[in-house]
Amino acid sequence: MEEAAYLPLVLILTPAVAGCLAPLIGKVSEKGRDAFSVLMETLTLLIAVYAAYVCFSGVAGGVGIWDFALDRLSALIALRVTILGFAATLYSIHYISEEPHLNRYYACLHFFVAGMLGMVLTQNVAFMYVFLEIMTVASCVLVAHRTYKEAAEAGYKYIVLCTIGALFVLLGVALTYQHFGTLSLVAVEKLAAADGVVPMFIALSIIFGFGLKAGMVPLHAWLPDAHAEAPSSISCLLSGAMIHTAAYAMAKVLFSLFAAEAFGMIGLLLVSFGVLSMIVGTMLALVQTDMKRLLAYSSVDQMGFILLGFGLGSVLGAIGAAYHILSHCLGKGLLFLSAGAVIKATGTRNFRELGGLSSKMPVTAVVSMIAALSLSGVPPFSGFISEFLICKAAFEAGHPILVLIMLIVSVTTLAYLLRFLHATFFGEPNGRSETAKEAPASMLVPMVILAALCILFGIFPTPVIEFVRVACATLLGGA
Amino acid sequence: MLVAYLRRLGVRIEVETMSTVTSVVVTGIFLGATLAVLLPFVRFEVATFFAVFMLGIYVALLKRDVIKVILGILLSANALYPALALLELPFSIYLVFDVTEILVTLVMLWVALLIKERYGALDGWKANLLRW
Repeated sequence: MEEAAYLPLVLILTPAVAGCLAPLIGKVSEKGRDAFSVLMETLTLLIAVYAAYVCFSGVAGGVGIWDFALDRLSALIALRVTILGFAATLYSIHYISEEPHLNRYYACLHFFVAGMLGMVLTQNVAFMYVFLEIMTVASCVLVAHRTYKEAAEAGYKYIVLCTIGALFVLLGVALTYQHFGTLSLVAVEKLAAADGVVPMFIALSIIFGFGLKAGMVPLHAWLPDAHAEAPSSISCLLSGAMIHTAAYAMAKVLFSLFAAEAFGMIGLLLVSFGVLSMIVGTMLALVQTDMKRLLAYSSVDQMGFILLGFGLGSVLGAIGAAYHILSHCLGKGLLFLSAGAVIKATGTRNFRELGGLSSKMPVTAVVSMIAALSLSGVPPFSGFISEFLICKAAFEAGHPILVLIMLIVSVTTLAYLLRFLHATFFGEPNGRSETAKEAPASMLVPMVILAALCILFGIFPTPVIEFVRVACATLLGGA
Repeated sequence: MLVAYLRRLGVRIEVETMSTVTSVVVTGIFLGATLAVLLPFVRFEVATFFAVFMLGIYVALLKRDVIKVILGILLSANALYPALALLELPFSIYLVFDVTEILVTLVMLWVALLIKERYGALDGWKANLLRW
């Protein structure tokens, strides 16, 4: 297993090397750069699959070297990042082929994936801050990639707010080192109580810093703009991978620093922010007519489920949150990719101007429906399993009111997603829809793969649940 | 050099306005930071740096000129570095932090120039096409 210790580093370095080489290859051959990018993301995905296999075949405690480690939970989160990284890169080949500055686009795309993997796989809070900044810088360039007025505004809001968030994480890093004497989350001795000024400041800095990146209400102002104005392949990564990576990092740091006894107040904060995110996100999604903004607000409300799952402080809640990270990543990533295909075919983001696209784009319509049902928690899709687990955890923790809120939010999610899909794919075709054509194979293949995974993880949830159970229990340390 | 460059871009006069909500939020933040330094029961070792850090956040939230917003963020970052230096972290960590900060600053300047190019001014509040 000695070679396996290098897996986390290899996993981070593969997309990072791709990010360095892609623009150089692009200067010689654009097709070569595209092929190289897909190849490297496929390689990263295969390494992540192998890493998950290594963890699954007995290394529950994790493998790693130099403050980079791979346990079952981080393997699952890394796997999800690489699945979306691969899907977004393959999708980009046709989707963005006619736009300028593609060398910059592919370089930043690979660094973005590398930053996310670094965040997931490091056990050191200082490195976590560095990877957070790498992720922010790369994704900001991608958000403002198209450089028109709205993209510039979205990029500006994004970089300013996320850098402020990252600075709060850095403040948390400084306070953590001052209080615990180490930056390693493995070596740290958990606090039995979060009383006193410094532990509370650490917890608040971490929640504020990572919460801003995760799009937690009321720190979500950047999210709808950035998700809507970024190219759809990037929206897919922002919404499907990045915000969850931040939520996972927040949970990992908090669970590593504070023991079960100290988690009460922090858990209450997370649950409160989770409920607020669910309610505000759903209400704002209901009134949108821009499909990408609707999906962005939907991400805010789904983030509420994840925060709530982690905030409950139980193993079942953490498993539910981890599973929801996976199912939301697949569902929302898929919806952003299909929204991109619709926008490319019709030239509008306003779904009120569309209709009857199901006959013109049947595959896109079917996969969008699968994603919408999964996100709304309808069986047998993966979203049902994760929302059920979180509801069960809330019920077991004695909070039936939270279960009620989650059920209402799930029904409302189904309502606004069906409204969007009905307006887009059903009814009478109008002017814009009549000339639309189905997306090419390079865009459809990643969508079909994600749709298949939504169904697969819904029908066979047990292996994944068993896979993360030990890791969640270890992370919570009996919480 | 920065001032000369800004003058060349035509940045001379700036009118600062802000909403009541922003005023209340930033005043609250600033008071919180001041209390962290002054009151014995909330004072901690890096509290002074924390106050400067919050002042930077205050500037970043208050100012509408994008360059000043960036300077506010840098002020916050620079407040944290002495605090980190006091903690005697490994040298490599400082190096990595510095490189990261330079990278972030460069991207922030790129976006600032994009705002100037698209909106004709460095006024961040003019970039308000996206709402709700």
